[in-house]
Amino acid sequence: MNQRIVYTNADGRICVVIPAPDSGMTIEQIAGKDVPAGVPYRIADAADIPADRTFRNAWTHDEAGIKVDMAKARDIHRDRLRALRAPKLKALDADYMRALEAKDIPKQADIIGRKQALRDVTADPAIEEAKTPEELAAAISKILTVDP
Amino acid sequence: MTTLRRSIPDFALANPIYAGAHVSFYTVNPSTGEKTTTLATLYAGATGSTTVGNPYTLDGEGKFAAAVFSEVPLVATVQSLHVDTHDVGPIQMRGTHRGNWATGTSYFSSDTVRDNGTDKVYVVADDYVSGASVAADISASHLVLMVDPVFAPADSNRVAKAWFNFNCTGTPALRDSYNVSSITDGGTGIFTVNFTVALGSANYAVALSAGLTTDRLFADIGGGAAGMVAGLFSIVTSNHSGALVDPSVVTGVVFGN
Repeated sequence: MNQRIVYTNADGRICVVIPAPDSGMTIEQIAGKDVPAGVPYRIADAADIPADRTFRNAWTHDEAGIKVDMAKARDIHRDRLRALRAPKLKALDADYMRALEAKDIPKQADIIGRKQALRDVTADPAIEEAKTPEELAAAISKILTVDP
Repeated sequence: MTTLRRSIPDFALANPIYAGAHVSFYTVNPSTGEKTTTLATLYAGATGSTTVGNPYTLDGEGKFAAAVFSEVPLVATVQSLHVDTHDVGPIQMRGTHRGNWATGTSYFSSDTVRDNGTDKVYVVADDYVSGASVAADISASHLVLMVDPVFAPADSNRVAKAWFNFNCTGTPALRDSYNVSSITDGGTGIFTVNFTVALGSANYAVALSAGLTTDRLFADIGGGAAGMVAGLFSIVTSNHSGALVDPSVVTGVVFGN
């Protein structure tokens, strides 16, 4: 069955019902049973559901199909950047302690600068400037993609 | 009562070392299980009076030219150009599985039959012609229970009420399932399994697993007990950091009333 049922649940999340291929039920029967009572729904071709789930929790839908809410997507993207920088900040904290014990002032200053750069990744202008989900997904500061 | 007569299973298949061998079929002493000096009567068919010569000369492939039948246990003495003279047997005519029990059928002691209604298997206690029902034959001591299957229909609570396997990377889809009408994708790492036929109550048991090529994941009931109702239940999948993630495979089985 290459059809899907799309509706918005009580929490405002977009839900996509994926029928079992061998249920023996029609898409309408499944909608009648598996969509919460009284909630409006739309039957769509499976091909019209985005395969890219990078910003799945920012999906919205209307008669034209599923779209990405860029404001929500930016929040999701920033959360991902925070998750990416967390281990790097942790490693720099350890490096800073060593530099402190060694009284290596230049090293301390370098680490302070790198930590600040990591804190600033969520304020990267490219995030706000992104007009499409693809541009937003690509808005990752180089400091997050290099080791360490 | 029909006389027990079965085809002799030995020498039914080609065996080159028995090519052209002379085989003498002797009756067996029922007390000792040893062969006697009496040649048995061999028959050309399952019924009828046409007999087959004894000793019997096997064909050029070392087998019977056609099926040979006997009504009694046998010991065969084989004389062949290729091997020393030796005995084969005893060859039993009893103790075969007769398939599903049927009324008005001749059964012989040591046969086994299956009750198609319960899947139970019985051993036949004596030579008899079956009656009107399995229950009647049990009552008359013709059948003795041998196997009582664990998964008898009456114990259906031991059978999974639903199972599924779906992916949620790229285009989510159910790979295969039983008693599942659909999966609801409610967001990253949030799913609902909808049963085709609801369970008898919300107090069922679910076993879940989830995986991703690049990570190990956890699969849990979303919302705890509140996430389970008779017609559906919720799943959340997360990584070690507790972040909800989409798995490449989610599987589950459901047992309940």
